[in-house]
Amino acid sequence: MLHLEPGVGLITGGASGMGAAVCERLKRAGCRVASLDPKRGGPADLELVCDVSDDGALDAAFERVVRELGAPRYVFASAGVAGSVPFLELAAGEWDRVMDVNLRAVYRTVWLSARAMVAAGVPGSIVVNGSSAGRVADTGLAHYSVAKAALRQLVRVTARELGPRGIRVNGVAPGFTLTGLTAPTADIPGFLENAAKRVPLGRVGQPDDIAQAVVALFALGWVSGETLSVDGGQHLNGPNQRMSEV
Amino acid sequence: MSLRGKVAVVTGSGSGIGRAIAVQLARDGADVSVWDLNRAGAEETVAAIEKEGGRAIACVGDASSEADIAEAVAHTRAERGPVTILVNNAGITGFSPFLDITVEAWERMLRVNLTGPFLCTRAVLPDMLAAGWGRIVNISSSSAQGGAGRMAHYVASKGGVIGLTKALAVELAAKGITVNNIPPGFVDTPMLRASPVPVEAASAVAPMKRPGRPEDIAAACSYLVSEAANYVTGHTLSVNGGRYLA
Repeated sequence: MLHLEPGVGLITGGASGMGAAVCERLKRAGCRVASLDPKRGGPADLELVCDVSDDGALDAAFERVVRELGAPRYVFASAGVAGSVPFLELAAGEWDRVMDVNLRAVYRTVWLSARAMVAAGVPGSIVVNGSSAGRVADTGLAHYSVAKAALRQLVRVTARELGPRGIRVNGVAPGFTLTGLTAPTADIPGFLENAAKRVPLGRVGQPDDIAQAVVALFALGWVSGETLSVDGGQHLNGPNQRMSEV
Repeated sequence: MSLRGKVAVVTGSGSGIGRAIAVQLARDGADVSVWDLNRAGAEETVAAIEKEGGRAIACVGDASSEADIAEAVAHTRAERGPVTILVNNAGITGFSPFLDITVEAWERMLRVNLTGPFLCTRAVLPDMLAAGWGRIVNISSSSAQGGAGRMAHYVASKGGVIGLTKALAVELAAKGITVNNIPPGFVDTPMLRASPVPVEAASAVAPMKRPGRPEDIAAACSYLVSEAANYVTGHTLSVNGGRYLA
């Protein structure tokens, strides 16, 4: 099976959901893990309260992780926001907010991670949290899906430039996954049942589905620039998709 | 040892990438059926697996011949049991300016590289359907993602493999069968060394400055057939050190 060298893990959004699930798996593999999150209460060894879209706060959090645990070997940039707004009602402020957290802050996380890895000579591995929405054209997600689509290219170009430094960059693209962010949908009658029906593999995602893929990307030494869809096949959905039967 | 109790067929596993995959799946606990045209190669792979305490049998034949496939499947079922893991790795390559590709060469390339996977999948699918569980991994090529000159027949055949992967993923998802493909970049194998591709020049332009190793592809295959990848289907998992042609 895949082997993970112990090292320092750094996760943005590590207090809950997918970030927390990755944190658990890294700890089980012998890593010491820091979480940068507006909330506390997750499984990380070091929890730093941090809004990733605040440049000063993010810089300071990285400095503290490097000082207290060391330069990260494994980074999962998972902090993100979601929200469904019909395009004609999408105000500029809402567009900016989603771009700030889901794209700009991810670029800064990758940037700070790579610089720390280069400074310490750590051949690290960075994974960003994308989404099937970055490929599939769903409704109400113009801002969110554009940010997620952009992450796919960020992964490719940074993988290209950082490869000679021994640093790999990849992404995961979950589909609909049950986390704190999507938990409110459980209150909408029939929502989760319908969500499961749209998935070829017949169920919605769980945080550990994503975590296993993230850890695999940390371990696969010749995979770089890749965005791994972990969505039960949702990325294959077309607008009139029916599940065919054999 | 998550594959304990499962029978895996790896076509073209008498050497190169196929051998590395067969060895890895055996390490993961699977009973491996090593298929190859070359008897000596197949037997060497079996010996390598048994030397590590794994279990394997050799089937000699052409993975694009219905008769050979039927015999190999029958032999595998009799010796080891129903097949629930299939890695369609057997393939040939060819280098020819487009106008020099004869109709015979075109058809032969499609026959081995595309019709072969179609026939092998068809032969073992009943076992997967009966089990309600299956894993199919097809080996395609990075050349099908970005194009490559002087190998239009090869590139077209591998593009077909990517399409076949997605179609099967959609059709078989409700049956508990995942279907994915791995397009390798340049991998240092006997087939590459025998080709006109200058390996050192290819390495120089790769972000990580080296060609891939068969074990790199095997590691990705190991992930895709494991329980960790239960929620991944229809995916094209690139393993190329960050060198994307497109």
